[in-house]
Amino acid sequence: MSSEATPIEPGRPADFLRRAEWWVAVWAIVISAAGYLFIRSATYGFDNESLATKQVLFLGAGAAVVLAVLVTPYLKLTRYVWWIYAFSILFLVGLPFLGVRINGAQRWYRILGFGLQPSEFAKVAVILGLAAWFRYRPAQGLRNGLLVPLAIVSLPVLLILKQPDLSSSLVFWPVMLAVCYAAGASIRTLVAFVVVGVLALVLAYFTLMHDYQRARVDVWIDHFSWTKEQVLTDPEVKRQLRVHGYQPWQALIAIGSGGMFGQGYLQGTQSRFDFLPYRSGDYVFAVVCEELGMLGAIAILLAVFALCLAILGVAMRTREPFGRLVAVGIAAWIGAQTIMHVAVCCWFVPATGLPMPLVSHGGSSTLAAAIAIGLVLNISARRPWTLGSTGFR
Amino acid sequence: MNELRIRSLVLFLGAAFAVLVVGLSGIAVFDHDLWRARASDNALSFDSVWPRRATIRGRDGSVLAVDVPSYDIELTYREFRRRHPVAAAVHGANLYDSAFGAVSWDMDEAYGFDRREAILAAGRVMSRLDLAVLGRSKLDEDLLERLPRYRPTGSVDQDLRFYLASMLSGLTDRSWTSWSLAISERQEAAGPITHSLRRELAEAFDMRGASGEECRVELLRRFEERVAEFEELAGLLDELHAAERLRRGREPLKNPWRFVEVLEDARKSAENQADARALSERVQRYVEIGDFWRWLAHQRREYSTVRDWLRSDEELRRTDARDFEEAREQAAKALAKHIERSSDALKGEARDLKIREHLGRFFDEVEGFEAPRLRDEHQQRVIVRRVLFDDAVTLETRYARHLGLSVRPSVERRVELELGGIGPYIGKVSRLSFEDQIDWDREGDPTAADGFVEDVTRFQVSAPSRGGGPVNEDADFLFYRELDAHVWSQAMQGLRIGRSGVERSMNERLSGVSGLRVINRNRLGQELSMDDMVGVESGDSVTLTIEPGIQEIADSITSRLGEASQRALVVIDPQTGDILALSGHGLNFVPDPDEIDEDGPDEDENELWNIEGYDIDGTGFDLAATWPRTDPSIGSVIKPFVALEYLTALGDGRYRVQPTDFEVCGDPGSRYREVMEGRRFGCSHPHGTASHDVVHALARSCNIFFYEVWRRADGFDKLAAGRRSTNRSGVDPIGELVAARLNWREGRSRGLVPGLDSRLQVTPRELHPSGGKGRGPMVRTIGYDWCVSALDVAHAYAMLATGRRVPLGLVQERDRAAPSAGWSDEHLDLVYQGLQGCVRYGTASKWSGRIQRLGLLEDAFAKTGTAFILKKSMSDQDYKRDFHNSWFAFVLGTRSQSRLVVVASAYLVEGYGAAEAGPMVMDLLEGMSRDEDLRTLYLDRK
Repeated sequence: MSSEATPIEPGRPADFLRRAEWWVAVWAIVISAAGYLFIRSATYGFDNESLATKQVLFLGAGAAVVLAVLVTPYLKLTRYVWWIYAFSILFLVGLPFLGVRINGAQRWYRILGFGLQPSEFAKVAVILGLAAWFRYRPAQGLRNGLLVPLAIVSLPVLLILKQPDLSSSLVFWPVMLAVCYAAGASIRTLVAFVVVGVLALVLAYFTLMHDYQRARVDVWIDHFSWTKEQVLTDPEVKRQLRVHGYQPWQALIAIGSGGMFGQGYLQGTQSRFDFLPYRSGDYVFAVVCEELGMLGAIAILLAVFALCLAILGVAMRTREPFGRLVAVGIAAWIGAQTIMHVAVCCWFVPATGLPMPLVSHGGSSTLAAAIAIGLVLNISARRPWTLGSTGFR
Repeated sequence: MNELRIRSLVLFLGAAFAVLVVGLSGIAVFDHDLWRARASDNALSFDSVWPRRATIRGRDGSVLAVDVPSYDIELTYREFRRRHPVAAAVHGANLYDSAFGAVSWDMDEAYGFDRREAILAAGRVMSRLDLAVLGRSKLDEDLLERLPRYRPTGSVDQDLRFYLASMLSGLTDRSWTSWSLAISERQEAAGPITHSLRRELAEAFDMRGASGEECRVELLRRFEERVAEFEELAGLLDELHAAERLRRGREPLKNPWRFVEVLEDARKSAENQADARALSERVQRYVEIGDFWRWLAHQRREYSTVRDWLRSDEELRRTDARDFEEAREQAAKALAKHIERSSDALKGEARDLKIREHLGRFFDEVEGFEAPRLRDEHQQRVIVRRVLFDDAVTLETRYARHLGLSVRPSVERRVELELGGIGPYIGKVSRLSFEDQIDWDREGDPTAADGFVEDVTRFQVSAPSRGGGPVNEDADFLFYRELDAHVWSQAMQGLRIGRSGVERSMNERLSGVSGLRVINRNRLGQELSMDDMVGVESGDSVTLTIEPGIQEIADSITSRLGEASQRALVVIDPQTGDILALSGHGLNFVPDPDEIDEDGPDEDENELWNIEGYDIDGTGFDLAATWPRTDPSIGSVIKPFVALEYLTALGDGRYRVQPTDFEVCGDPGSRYREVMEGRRFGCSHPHGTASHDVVHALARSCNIFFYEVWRRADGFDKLAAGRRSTNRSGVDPIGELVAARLNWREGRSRGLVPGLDSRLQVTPRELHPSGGKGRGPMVRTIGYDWCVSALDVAHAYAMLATGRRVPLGLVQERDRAAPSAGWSDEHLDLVYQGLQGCVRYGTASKWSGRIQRLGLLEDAFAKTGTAFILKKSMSDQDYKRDFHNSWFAFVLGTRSQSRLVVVASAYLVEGYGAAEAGPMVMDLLEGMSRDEDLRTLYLDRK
C-alpha cells in the first residue's frame, strides 16, 4: 500500500509516524533552539536570567503538547472546533474579571505562578474555526467568503483590543486573509477588504487610538524624515528618541551595530549594558542581529521561511480541506507574525510589542506554537482519502 | 481551493522575507558604521584622569602656587529627591507645578473665564504653599540654589508647606512620615497648631480642587484616601525592599532609621537647646526601641486630631468661606475641573513611577518609556566645586548628612603668596572645556557628557583631527578614523591649564599629561567596567626667580598709591637677569582717559585684555610689566642711553660736534633763556646746571645738552639707526616673559634707544607751547612718546650696569647667554660717573643722605626722569601743577660688580621723578636692609 492510499486511521503507529512531515519538526526545533540561545543571551547576567531556564521548561512542555496533539487524528477535532472556539472566547471574556493587570494591561491569567495568555491560544482557535467554516462551503460569495470569516475573527480581535493588545490583534488579519484566499475566496473581495482595512486603520489613528499609540505612529512617520544631523542636534528629535522612539531606536542600534557578522554571542553591547528593552520578547530579533549579524539574521529568517514552506508543503499535499486550511492558517500565522516582529525591530512599521514565534520568550506563545506544530504534523501524518481535488464541492 | 493559490502564498511569503532582508541589509551592512558609533555612544564613556599640576616655588623655595585638596559635591538626583526631605518637597512641588502650572494660561480661551481674575485666584492659592518660589525646576542646580531656603529655620509652619508638597507628589516614601513628623514637631515645639496654620492646611487642601465647605469635605476625604494609598504602597514597597535584600543575602531594611535621621537632622538644627535635648531623647528612644510603626500610628492619631480641627473650627469655616467664595466665583469651576483631571494624571503617574521604580519595570508599554530621564536621575553631577573640608565633612556625617549628596575629593589651585603683583604673574588656572579646543556648542545639553556620535561627527565637520590634515566633509561618520581625535579631545577636556602668567607660559611643564579611562556604562549611566586606561603623568615643578621677601616689600610700597594713578617697582639681579621683584599697583585705566589721551583704552583693548586671559577688573593686573595706559613717556631716564650713543658715534667719527660746541646756559642764577631757530626756549632746571660735560649733563639731567645732541645730529634717529643701536640696548624679552604676556605689546617695545624698529619717533617735544603767539618759554626735551614699562627700563639699566645684553628671566636654572652690548668701557665709565654724580650732587642728591645711612653711597648710581603729562583743562601758565610720569632708576654695585637694579615709577603725579619715585626706591632699600638675609644677599658687597 502506498502512502497515497493510506486510510484515515493508519494501521500501525510506525507507518503513521513515518508519514509525518518531520521537516516541520526539524525546523521548529532549530528555531526553538536558537530562541533559547538568544533568550539566554538577552537575559544573561540580569535579574530575569531565569527566563532562559523557564523557556526550556516551556519547550519541554511544548514537545509533550506536540506529541499529545499528534496522537489524536486531527479530523476528530472537527467535531469540537466550535467548542474550542467558544472556550477561547470565554477565556478572553474572563480576562477583565480574573486576569492580572501587568503594565496597565490585562492579558494574562495567573495559574500556578505562570502567566497564561489566552490571545495566543485564540489564534489557534480562530484558525480551526476558519478551516471548519470553509470545509464544506464554497468561499466565493461575500457572505461565505468574507463576512462570516470576518465575524469569526472579529470577536476575539475585539476582546483582545479591549485588553488592550493591539499588536496581537493585528496578527489575525493576515491569517484570515490567507485562509480565505486558500479557500478560494474572491480575490477582488479580499483586495477590497484590505483597502477598507487600511482605511479603517487610518480612521482609527484619528479616532480610536490611545495617545501613546498615536505618538508611536507619529514618531515612526517622523523618523523617515530625520537627517543624521537632526538626530544629533535637534532637541525635539532627541526628546522623541528618549520617549516614544526609545525602544525602536535602541533596536535599530542593536541591529545596525551587529553589521555583517555580529558582535559575537553574549557580546552585544545593547544587551549587555541593558539598553535594549524587551530583548527576550518583543525585540529578540534585534539581539540576533546584534550578536550574529546579518548572516545570523538571514539564517534565522531562512529557518522560519523553511518552516513555513514545509507547512505549506503539507497543505499542498493534503487534499482534505480542513487539514489543508489549518496548515495554511498556521503557516500564515507563523510567517506573518515573524515578518511583523522583524518589521517592528527594524522600525519598518510603528513600534508595537509582538513576540517572534518559537524564538521569543513566553510560555503561552510557545505552547500555542507547539499546538500548531503538532497539528501540522498530525495533518501530514494523516492525509485522508478524498474524492476530488477540492473536496465535496 | 487549489494548489496554485497556496503556491502563490509561498511566493508572497518569500517576497516578504526578501524585502525584509533587503531592508535589514540597509541597516546592518550599509549603515553599519553609523549604528556602531551610536552603540558605542550608548555604552562607552571616557573619564579623564587628570594629572597633578606641579608646584610653583619662589626663589627661596617657598610655595607660590600649589594644588591643594578640595572637595566637589555631587548630587544624584534620584537619590536626592527620594531620600532628602527637602528635595522630596521640591520635587513634589515641581510635579505639582507641572501638573497645575498651566491652568491659568488657557483658562480664558477654554472656559471663557476672566483670565486675570482666574490667575489671581489660582495664584493666591498656589502662593500659600510657596509653590510660586519653587517654580518649575527639575535639576540639581536649581535645587541647590534653593537649598538654603529649606535649611531648618525654626519655623515648622514653613517647613510644613514643603512637607505637604512632598506628600502631594507621591514620589517619596518619606512624605507621609515627614508630614506626621512636622505636625508632631510643631506641636512639641510651639504648642497647638495655630489658626493660621490650620487655615493654610485647609487652603492647601483647596488646591486639590475644593472651594467652599462641600469641596473641602470632599478633599479631606480624598486626602485620607491618598494617605491610605501611600501607606499601603509604602508598606508594599518596604516588603519588597526587605524581600529583595533577603534574597540577596543582605540585611533587611530598617525603615525606622531613616526617620531617625530626620529627627537627628532636626535636632542638630534646633536653636533651642531644650528642644534639642528633647529631640535627642526621642532619637535615642527610637534607636533603642525601634518601634517605628507604633510611633507612626501615634502620628496618625495626631493627624486625625488635626483633621477634626479642620472640620470643627467654625471660625475657620467662616473665614475660609469668604476667601473661597471669591475664588470660586471667578475660577473654581474651571480650576476644579482642571485640577481634578490633572490630579488623576498626577496620581496615576506617581503610582506608576513608584511601582515601576521599585519593581524594576522601567518600560511601560502603555505609558511610554522615558529612559533618559531615569538615566539623568541616576547620574552623579557635580553641583558645587571647591568646597572646603570643614563644609564637606558635614555632608558626610551620618545623621546630619544630606542624603543624595555625596562628596568627592578634588583639587584646587591655590596661590599661597597673594602679593598683589606676583599673584597675577603666577596666573590663573582653569579647566579646559571643549569650547577652548573646538567651537562646539555643548552647553545646556544634558546628554553632552556622553554624546559620542555627536562628538565624532562634529569633530569631523568642524575641526581637523589631532594629526592635522584636511577635513573630509564628504566622508560619512568615519568612526574609527576619528576615534583617536575624539578620545584625545575627551582626555583634554577638563584638564586644568594655565590661562595667564607663569601658569600659562609654563603650562606644558606644569600641567602634566592626562590619563583616560574608557568606561562601560549601562542605560542608567552606571559604571559597569573599565575597558581601557591610559596612564596619567604629573607635571614638573617650576622655581621662579622671584625673591618673596623683596617682592613683599615692593608690593607694600607700590600699594601705597598716594596721589598717583599707578606705581611700579622692579628689582633685577643685573648679573643674571633674574627678576627678583615685580610689583605694580593702581588703576588700569585713569579715571577719565579721554581727557588725557585721545588714544586711551577703548572697547577693543578691553576685549584684547580679556582674550589674553586677564581679568583686569578683578586681579589688579600688575603694572610693572605693562605700559601706563595713556601717555607712557619715560622722560630723562633715557638720557644715559642717548649719551652712550652720542659718545659711541663721536668715537666712530660719525658725529663730529663736540660737547664744547653746544650752546648751553648762560649766567648762573637765572633760568635758561635762549633763542634757537628764531624761538625762545626755556628750561625748568636752575640756570647754570647745563654743561659741556657729558658727566655733568647726566648728573643734572641737562635738557639743553641732550637737545643739542639731537639738534646738531640732524635728528637722533638717524644717529641711532646708523649703528642699529636698538640691537644693543633694546629690550628683548626671553621666551617665558613673552609667553607670560609680560610684554604683551612687544611690537612697540624695541629698545630704549630710538631706532628704526621703534614705532614712535623720539624727537624733542614742545612743552608748554606759547600758543603760537611767540610768548612764553618753550622747553624741548627728549624721552617722550616712549612706550616702555618699568620692567623694560630695569632691563636696560641692567645692561648698562653690566655692559652685556642680559636676558631677563623669571624661571631659575635657565641658561641665559649674555653677549656684550657693544658699548666701550670708556664710555660706560663716563656714563657711570654721570649716574654717580646724579646721586651725589645731581637730581637725585636729595636721597644721598638716606643712601649713605644704608652704607650704600659708594655703590649707588641713579637717574631720575620726569615726563610732563598735560591735562587739557590746565592753562599754559599752570604747568607746575601738571601731572608727570616720575621715574627713578637705581643701580647698586661697583662698575665692575653691579648687584642690583631697581626701577620705580609713579604715574600721574605732581612731583618730579626724584620726589615721587625716589622714595619708593629708598623705602625698598631700607626694607631690604632690615632683613638680614636680604641685606647679605643683595645689598652688601661680596
